[in-house]
Amino acid sequence: MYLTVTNATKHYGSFRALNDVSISIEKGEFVCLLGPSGCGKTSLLRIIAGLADLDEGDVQLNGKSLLKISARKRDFGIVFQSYSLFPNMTVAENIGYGLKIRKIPADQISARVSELLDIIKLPQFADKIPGQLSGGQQQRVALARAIAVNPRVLLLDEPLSALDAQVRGELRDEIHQLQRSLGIPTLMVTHDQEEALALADKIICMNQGVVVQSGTPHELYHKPATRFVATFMGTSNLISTQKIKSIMPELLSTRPGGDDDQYDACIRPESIRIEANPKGEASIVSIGFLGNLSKIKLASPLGNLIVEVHGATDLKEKQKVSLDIAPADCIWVENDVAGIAE
Amino acid sequence: MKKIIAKLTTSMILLGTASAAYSESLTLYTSLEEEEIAVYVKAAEKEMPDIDINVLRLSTGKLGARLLAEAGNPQADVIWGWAVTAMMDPQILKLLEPVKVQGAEKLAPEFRDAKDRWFSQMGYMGAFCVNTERLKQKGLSMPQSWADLAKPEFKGEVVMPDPNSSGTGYLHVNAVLQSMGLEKGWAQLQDVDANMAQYTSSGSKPCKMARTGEYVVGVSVALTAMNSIEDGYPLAMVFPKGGVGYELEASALLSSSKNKPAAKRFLEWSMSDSAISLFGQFKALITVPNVKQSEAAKLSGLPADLSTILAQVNFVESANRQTEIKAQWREKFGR
Amino acid sequence: MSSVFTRRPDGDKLLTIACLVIPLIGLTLFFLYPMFTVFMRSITLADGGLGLQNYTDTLASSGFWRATRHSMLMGFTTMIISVFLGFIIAHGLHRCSFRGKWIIRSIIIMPLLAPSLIQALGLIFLLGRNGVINRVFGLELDIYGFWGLTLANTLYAIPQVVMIIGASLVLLDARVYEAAEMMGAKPTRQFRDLTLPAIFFALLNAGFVVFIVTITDFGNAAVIAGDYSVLATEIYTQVVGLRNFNMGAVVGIMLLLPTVVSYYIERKAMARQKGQLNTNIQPFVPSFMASRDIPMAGVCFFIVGMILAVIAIVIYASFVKLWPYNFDFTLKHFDITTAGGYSSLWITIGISLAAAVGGTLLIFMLNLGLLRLPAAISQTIQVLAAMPAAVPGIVLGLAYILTFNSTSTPLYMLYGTATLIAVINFYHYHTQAFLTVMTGFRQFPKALEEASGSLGAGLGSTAINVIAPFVSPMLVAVFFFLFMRSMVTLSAVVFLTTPQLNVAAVTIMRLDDAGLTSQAAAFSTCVMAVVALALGIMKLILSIQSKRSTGSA
Repeated sequence: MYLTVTNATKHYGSFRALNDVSISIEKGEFVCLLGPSGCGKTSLLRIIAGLADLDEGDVQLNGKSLLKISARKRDFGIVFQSYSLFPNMTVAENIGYGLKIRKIPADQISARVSELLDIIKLPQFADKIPGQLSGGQQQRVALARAIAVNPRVLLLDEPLSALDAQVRGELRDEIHQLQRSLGIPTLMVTHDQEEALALADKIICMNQGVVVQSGTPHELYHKPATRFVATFMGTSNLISTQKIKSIMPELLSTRPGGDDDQYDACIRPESIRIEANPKGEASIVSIGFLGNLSKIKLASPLGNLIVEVHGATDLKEKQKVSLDIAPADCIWVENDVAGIAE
Repeated sequence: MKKIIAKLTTSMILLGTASAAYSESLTLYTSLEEEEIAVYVKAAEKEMPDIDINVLRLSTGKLGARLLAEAGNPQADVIWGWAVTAMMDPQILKLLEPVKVQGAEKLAPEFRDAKDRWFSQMGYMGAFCVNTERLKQKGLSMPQSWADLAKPEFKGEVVMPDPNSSGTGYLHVNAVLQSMGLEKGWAQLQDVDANMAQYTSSGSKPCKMARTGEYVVGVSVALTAMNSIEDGYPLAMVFPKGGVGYELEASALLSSSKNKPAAKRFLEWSMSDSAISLFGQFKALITVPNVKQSEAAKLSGLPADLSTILAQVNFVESANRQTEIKAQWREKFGR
Repeated sequence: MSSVFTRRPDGDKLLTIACLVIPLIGLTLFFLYPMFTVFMRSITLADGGLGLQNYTDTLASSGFWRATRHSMLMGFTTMIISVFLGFIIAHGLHRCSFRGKWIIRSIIIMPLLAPSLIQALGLIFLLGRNGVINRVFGLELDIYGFWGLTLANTLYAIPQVVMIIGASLVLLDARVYEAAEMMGAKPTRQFRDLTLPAIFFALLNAGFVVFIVTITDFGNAAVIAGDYSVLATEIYTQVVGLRNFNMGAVVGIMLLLPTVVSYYIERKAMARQKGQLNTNIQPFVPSFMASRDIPMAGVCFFIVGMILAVIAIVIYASFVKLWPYNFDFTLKHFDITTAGGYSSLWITIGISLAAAVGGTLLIFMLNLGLLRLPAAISQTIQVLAAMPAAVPGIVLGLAYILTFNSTSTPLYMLYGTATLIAVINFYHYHTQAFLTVMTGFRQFPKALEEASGSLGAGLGSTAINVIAPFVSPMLVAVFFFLFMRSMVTLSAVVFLTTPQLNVAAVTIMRLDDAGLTSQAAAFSTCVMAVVALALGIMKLILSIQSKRSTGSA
């Protein structure tokens, strides 16, 4: 394990931002810290960066504690949501700043800078100042600036949140490629599950200062451990054990033991198959056409359900339908208090 | 809120026209000291409650400049208590209106203008104000004359008024020059200049600086010295040997005045017995015959017969050559 | 029915026109016209012709050159010291971590609330030849002249420097520093590479503001300069004493030069800052760093300690019997009968209230009028409304006396009235007041006005019921700002006082000039008490307002 955080606890006054958090990042791995705002993910990133202190616990790199090492000396790269370029320096100066601090000769700096400018596809912007760049361009420069010194770890603090949708998608792909080609271990903080799913080798899902679940994107989507993860990672239909028992008892086969309210059933919208059936128990409330798929809201004995089908659908509002759910598609999630019912 | 605004507006309008609203409103220009002005004006307003008295106090030099500058659009009615040497400037005399002021006839001819354009019922004397505490602290001996002030140990410890702006300043310079003769006089002033910490624009300020111990000696006015001693400051009043400068303070009516009856009443009040005795409480010099010396004057060591210490001052000469002397002074000592 | 419909827009138009025309007439009559007059006067010769004779005459006079030389030297020295010290305080407040910053914040505004000669008065009590310091330590410091004046002006200027630099330090993004930190830049390096370039214009601007304030303010010069003549006192002597109006006009025009430069820099700095304005600036929260914060705190507290000391000692001295010989408590200095006594205090309060009421109303009207104007015209008017700040008080005062003392126009009626002093106080501080209210109007959601309009409300009732409550915190702030500045300002009004009409700051100067230092101190204390009371009332009103608005939100 390359970078580890063990039993990290952090208080801000009486507010507990982190509670006994342990995570790890392997060499070359892209890890996303995912969670709603205030879940402690940014605090954790800042602690790893050395920009904030830890109350308890340890941060280690290659088995050596970083706690006594200031942010300046950790050799990490960071990119913030707000770009945070040096407003008084040109793009080239921004990118070369870390090298300049390290007293690298000027000709080597300029070579490295132009190499990076090519990588981020902004070679003609070397002498512009940040104010003259668009948000996406600024964030590319910030990225180049962070990786210019070949950091041991790259930290990304919601790097895409300030950008508009199209730029966000493009830059997401670029970050992905860059990280893969450079192999820099990367930790990215985000509240956007789609981003996390697209980029991460590993997602660490946090809520209220604790790690709720960590694993591959696939694991987190298909095997959410709790109601919280299930709702946060994509859309899901959460149904109480009692309703399943009375209406679709066949789904109980996959359920672990325990009291009725210990687990709820989580069924992803794409796992519900519907068919027009005048005798069906469910009826369509509304249909939203989203291009590649249609989002259908149902009123059913299981409660209100959301169903997604590929492409357009022939179904109409108020039409009666029948439901079909495979037991394998019914995931039983822990009913954590923090979980948000629909 | 509306009421307040309404009231404010009315008061602003009233303030704006205040000077016009009083039919008997009087503007006096004077070089008397602020302290005495306050007392005199209070008494005058009590005597003449129907007259609203406004006073502008300027140092002697500035008052003259102001009168000349305003000649096209005069603002004042009366010149009150202003150096007679300044009053005798022909440019100023042109602005005055001859007036028979009741009581002025008591004055000896040298204290009034032959053409009744001005009269002077009082005057003031120059003096050294010496801070006894600072004197002791510095280990200095009491200065008795201008020559003493030139001693090297007084370096940076002497303050005097600038004769160009202050009548008191001119009074002192004039007294030195007239009593010692021009050549010796200028040499003496030159010697003292080396020790001079500041030339102030106000005549009484040097004394006030000396009394708070900022400097040892303030070349200033006897009146301020007497008041300060009475207040309890560690101050001694010294009349320089070889002649004390003095100046008569004259009053006059400006021919441009739009309130001549009120102005005349004020001038007559200033010659009344009650006014004269009030002035006597402050003034070292009263030119009206048979007026007793004030308690304060006695207390501070002023001799009953002033003629023993006063310099021989020729006012006509003082007035005639003052422009030249002031210019010369500026040339030599201007800072 | 139709008549109702047609009348309303007409009423709105009329109101808009009135809201524009009245304030604009004011600006033209009481700002543009006097400035034009002072310019014309400076090139009008004794024989009525035009020419530069006045300039050559003034430049040829040795007294003028001496005073100019002194002013420049003093202005530059004050500028360097006060920008340096003010920067330390601003940096300490915004970028260091130590306790008691509220103390620094409260002391730093004091000089702006006191008559401008208070520093000199306090310094004489403290550092005069027979002042507290010299007596206690047996020293022989001589405060009169260059250093005393420089020190007094420095203490007066520091708060303005702190505000200007502080405003630009606040805009620095914490994240930028964290990025630099992560890249390995040490704090000293961050300071050099990030902080200094970012506040460069603010430093420059602060320097110019200080320079202008010090060469044009004569409250301190009149008290402590001794016979070290400076431009401001020289103009005062020439104009008020000697009525040498030509020289006044010439010097007035020349004093505009540094201001124009400064104004240009300020605009430039503002434009630059706008370019840098980030979407969301993360405020910098400094964490404690002993090696930096302990010395910084020490220096900051020392500087504000001096500022406090000079003001506190004036208050103290006003209560002692015979400074510096008898320190028994007394109230006798408050029994002021000389130099016109307290009448000037009451008049000043009246003038200040009038300037505040009238000013706030006119500023509100102007902003209301601008609301409905096309952007191009509105911007032109905004530039005009922001111009008075570029004119130093002393120049505006000169312009007024030249304009209103001349019998050639009916405006002469205003000469020597309290109204004119209220007017000059308002136009002297027009810019700051206008910009404050304009900020409020900018924040005002257009939709609210439209909603009110669509409900059938005319501009008048929208203004009173919707807009005024929204901008009321700014109106309150402007009201008290105008009141407090009018209470203490000296440089503009000193030319307009007459024997019949005096204001507090001038009375204090006269008392001091007559050597009645204790009474000058007592009078200053009274003025400060009034201003402090006003400040207290303002804070109270603003806190009630904010409670009410957060309560209802």
